[in-house]
Amino acid sequence: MTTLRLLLLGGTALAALIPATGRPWAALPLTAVALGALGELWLRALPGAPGPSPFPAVRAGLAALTGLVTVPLIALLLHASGLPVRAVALVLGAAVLTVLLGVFVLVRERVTVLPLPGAPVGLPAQRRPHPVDRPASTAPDRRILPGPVRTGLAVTLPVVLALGVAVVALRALRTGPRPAEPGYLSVALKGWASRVGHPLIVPAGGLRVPVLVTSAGLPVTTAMVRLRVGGVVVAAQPVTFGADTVRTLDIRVPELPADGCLRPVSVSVGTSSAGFYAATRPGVRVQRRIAC
Amino acid sequence: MSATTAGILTGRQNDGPAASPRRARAEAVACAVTLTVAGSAGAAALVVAYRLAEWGSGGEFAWFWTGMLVFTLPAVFWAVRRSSGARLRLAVLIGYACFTYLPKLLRNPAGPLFHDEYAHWGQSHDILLDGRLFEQNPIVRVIGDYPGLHATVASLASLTGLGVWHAALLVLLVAHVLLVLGVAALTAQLWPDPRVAAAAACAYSLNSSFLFFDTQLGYESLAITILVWALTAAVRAVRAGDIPSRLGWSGLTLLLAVTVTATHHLTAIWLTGVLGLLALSLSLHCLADRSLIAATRTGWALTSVTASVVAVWMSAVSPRTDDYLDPYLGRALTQFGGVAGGGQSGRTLFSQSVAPWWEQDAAFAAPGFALLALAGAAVLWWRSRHGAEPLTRAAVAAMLLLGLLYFPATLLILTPSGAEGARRSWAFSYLGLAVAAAPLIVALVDRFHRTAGPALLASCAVVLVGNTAAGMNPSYRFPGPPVFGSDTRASTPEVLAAANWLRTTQGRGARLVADRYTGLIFGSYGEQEPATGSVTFPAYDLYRTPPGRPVPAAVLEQLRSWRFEYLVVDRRMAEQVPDIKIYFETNEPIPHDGKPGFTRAQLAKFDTLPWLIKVYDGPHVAIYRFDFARLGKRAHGGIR
Repeated sequence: MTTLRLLLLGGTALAALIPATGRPWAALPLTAVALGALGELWLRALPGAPGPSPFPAVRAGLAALTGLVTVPLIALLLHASGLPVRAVALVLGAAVLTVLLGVFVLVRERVTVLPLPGAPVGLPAQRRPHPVDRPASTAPDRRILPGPVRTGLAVTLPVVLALGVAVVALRALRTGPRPAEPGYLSVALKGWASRVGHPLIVPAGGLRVPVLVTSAGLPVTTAMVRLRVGGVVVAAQPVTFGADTVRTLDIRVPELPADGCLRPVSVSVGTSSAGFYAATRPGVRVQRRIAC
Repeated sequence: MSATTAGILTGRQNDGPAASPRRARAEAVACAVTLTVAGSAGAAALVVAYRLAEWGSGGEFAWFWTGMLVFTLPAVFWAVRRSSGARLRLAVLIGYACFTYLPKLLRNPAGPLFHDEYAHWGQSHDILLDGRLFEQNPIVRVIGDYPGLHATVASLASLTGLGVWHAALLVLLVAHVLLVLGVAALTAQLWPDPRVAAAAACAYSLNSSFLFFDTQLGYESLAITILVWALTAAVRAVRAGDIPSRLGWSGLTLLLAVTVTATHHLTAIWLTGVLGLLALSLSLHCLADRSLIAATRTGWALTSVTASVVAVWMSAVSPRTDDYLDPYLGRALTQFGGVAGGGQSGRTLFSQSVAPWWEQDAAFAAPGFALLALAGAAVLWWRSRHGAEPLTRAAVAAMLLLGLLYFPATLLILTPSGAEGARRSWAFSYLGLAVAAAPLIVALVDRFHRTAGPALLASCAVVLVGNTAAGMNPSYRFPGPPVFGSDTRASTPEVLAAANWLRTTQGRGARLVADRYTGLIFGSYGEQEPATGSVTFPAYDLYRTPPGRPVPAAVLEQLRSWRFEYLVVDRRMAEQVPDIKIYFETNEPIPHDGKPGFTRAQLAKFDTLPWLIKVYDGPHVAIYRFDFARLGKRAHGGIR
C-alpha cells in the first residue's frame, strides 16, 4: 500500500472513530485500523524498507505493537499538555501524529529513493549478506491465493478458532452449578446518620435514626434488634428479614440523661452493630454530675 | 554435524523441502484439524479442572496439566516440524499463544483477581474517570509513576466503549500473542531457520511467568512484549549495513525503549542490561573481528541512550522506584547471606503447599533441564565460533550470558524477600536461555529424530509443569472456596458489599486504614485509598495496641495530618491465620507462629473508643469513621 493510501486509511478510520466512540462493534475495528496504520507509518518513518524475514508476519507484528504503544505515548503527550486523557483528545492526538508521520514519510520518499520491500537492505561491503536480508524467491508462485492473503489467513484463522474454543469454554465454566457463596447480615447507618462525624445531640423527645439492614445469601432470618445506650439495652425486638432483602429500620433513640456524659448509642442486629456517640443537648442543666 | 547445525554455521536457510501447494494445503488442513480438536479437548480439561477446584473435589492439578499438554505438545510438534511451511508455523505459534492465554482467561474472565490486578485495574479505572495520569495508587504506590499500561487500557476503553476489564483483556491477549511472535522474530534475526525461531518461542513459553504472571493485568505483561520487540529492532539496528537504516532501526528501538520505561521499571532495567550485554559481547568480538566496529558502536549508543532514558525517568518522574525495588534485592542479599551462614532467614520451598508431589519434583528438576540446555547451547556456540556469522556469534554470546543469570536467581528463591524478585527475573533470563538453546533443540531433533523428539517433548512438559509450580501459588492458579488471607479468594460477597456501601454512601477517594485483603477490595471496587502500613507509617499499630493502652501518638498524628477518614477491621484476623501468612505487608512486625496474630479484644477495643464511630458492620468486617476531635475523651460503655 502506498503511503498516501495508508495516510488516507488512517485518517478515515480516525474521522469515523469520533462518532463511533463508545460503540464497541464499530469503534473496535476502526481503532484497530487506525492504530495499524499509525504503526505502519512509524515503521516507514523510522526503519523504512522492511527487508524479508523467515517469519512472514514480523512486519505486521511490529506495526501492531508500534501502533499499540502509540496510545500511551499520545496519552503522555496529552498529560504533558495539561489535557485530560479523553476519547476526542486521543483521536485528535492520533490524527496529528498520523499527519506528521505521513508527511514526513512522503517527503522522505520524494527526496530519497528507498529500496522496494524485499530488496536487500544495504550491508557492509566487507560482510557477506546475512540470510535474513536475502531477497525473496523470484520463482513463479503457483498458489491460488496471493501471499499477503495467505499470511492474513495464517494470522486470523488460529485467532478465530481460539476465540471459538474460548467462548465455549467460558460458557461451560459460567453456566454450570457453582458452590453457594457465604451469606451475611449487615447493619449500617443510613442517610444523615451515615455521615455522622461527631457526637450527636439528642433533642427532647428523642431522635429517629435510620438503619439499613441487608440480608444476602441467607434464608429467612429472625434476629433480635437491640438499641443500647451507654452499653445498656433500652429496647429490643425480634425482626424477621427475608432472604436477599434490604430493609430500613427507624430506631427511636430516647432523650439522654442530663449528666454531661458522652454515651455510645448502638443498634445491633444479631451479632452485628452500628452506632455513634451522643451527648446531653446544650442548654440542659446538668442535674447530677457523675464520673463518665 | 546435523543439517540444522550446518545451516546455522553456514547461514543456509533450513525450512525443509519445498512442498507442493496441494501438499502444503493438505498439511495445513491436517494441522488445523489436529490442533482444533486438541485445543477443544484441552479447554474442556481446563474447565473440568477449574470446576473440580471450585467444589474442592480434588484432582484439579492432573486435569489442568492434561488439558495444557494435550494441546501444547502437538502444537510444539507442528511448530518445530521440518516440513511445516513458514505460514503454517506462524499460524501454529499464534494458536499456541492464544491457547496459553486460556488458563488465565478462564481463571477470572469477569474482573481482577490477582493482587496486582486490583491495583492496575483501579489505576486504569481512575484514568478513565478522571483523565489524569500519574495519580498515586493506593494498593501499589509505585505503579502510578508508570502509566503505560493503564493509559493504554483506559484509552482503549474510552475510545471503544468497552469496560476497563474487557479493554484490558484485549490488550493482554494482543501482548501475549505478540510476545510469542516477538521471541520468534528476535531469534530469526540471529538464525535464518524458522524452525529455530519457532523452537525458541516454544522454549520461552516454558518460563514460570508465561502462563499466569505475564498474562495478568500487570505492567510487566505489556512491557515484556515491548522489550522483546525492542531487542529485535536493536539487533536489526546493529546488523544494518548503511547509516540511514541503522538510524531508522535505532530510532524504533528507542521509541520502544521509551514506552517500556513509561510502562514498567523492572523491564526497563532489564532492557538496558540486555542491550549492555549485547554491546559488551560485540565489543569483545570486535577485538578479533574489526568488521563489527559499526555494530559495536551502535550497540553502545543504544545502551547509553536507553540507560539515560531510564535514569532520567527514575530520578525525575519516579524517585520512589528505588525504595520500591530495594527490598527485593538488597534485603534478599542480606537474607541470602544469613542462609549461607546457617542463619534463620531462609524459607522452605513448597512449605504447606497443596501442590501435588509431582509438581514439586518437577519444580526442582526444571533448573537441571535449564542447565543442560544452556551447557549444550554453549558447546554448540563454541563449536560454531569459526563458521558462524560474527554478529550472530556475538549476539548468541550475549543471550548465553543472559540465560546464565537464571541460575543465581534460583538461589535467591531460598530467601523470603528475594523469592518474588527471583521468580520475576526468570521471565527475562529465560529469553536468553530460549534463544541460545533453540538451535540445539533443532539440531538434536534432526540428528536423533526417532528419540530426541519424544524426549524433548517430555522434557518440555516437565519444565512447563515445574516452572509454573515454582512461579505461582495454587491459590492463584485455581479457584476455590473463600479463604481468609488469600489475595485471590478475599473477594467475598460481604467484603464487596461493605466496599460498595462505603462508595455509594460516602463517595470515592477516602483515605482508610485496612489489612491487605480488605484493602484490595476497598482500593479497587470500592475506589477508596487504603493504606496497609509500612515501617515509616505503621498503621497496623492501631490493631496491635492492646485494649486499655493508648494507640501510639505518632500514628494518630500521621492519620490526622494525612486526613484519614476510615478504619476497616476484619475480625477474622483474630480467628484465623492468613493463607499467605501476611496480614498487612511482607515485613510487618506481627508474629507468624501458626496462631492468629491478634486477639479478639485487640479488635473489639475499637467499639469502646469515642474517636471511632462504627458506621457499618457485618459478620466479619466493620467500618469505623475517625473523629480525631474526640481523642482522649471517655465514654459510658461501648457501641456493641
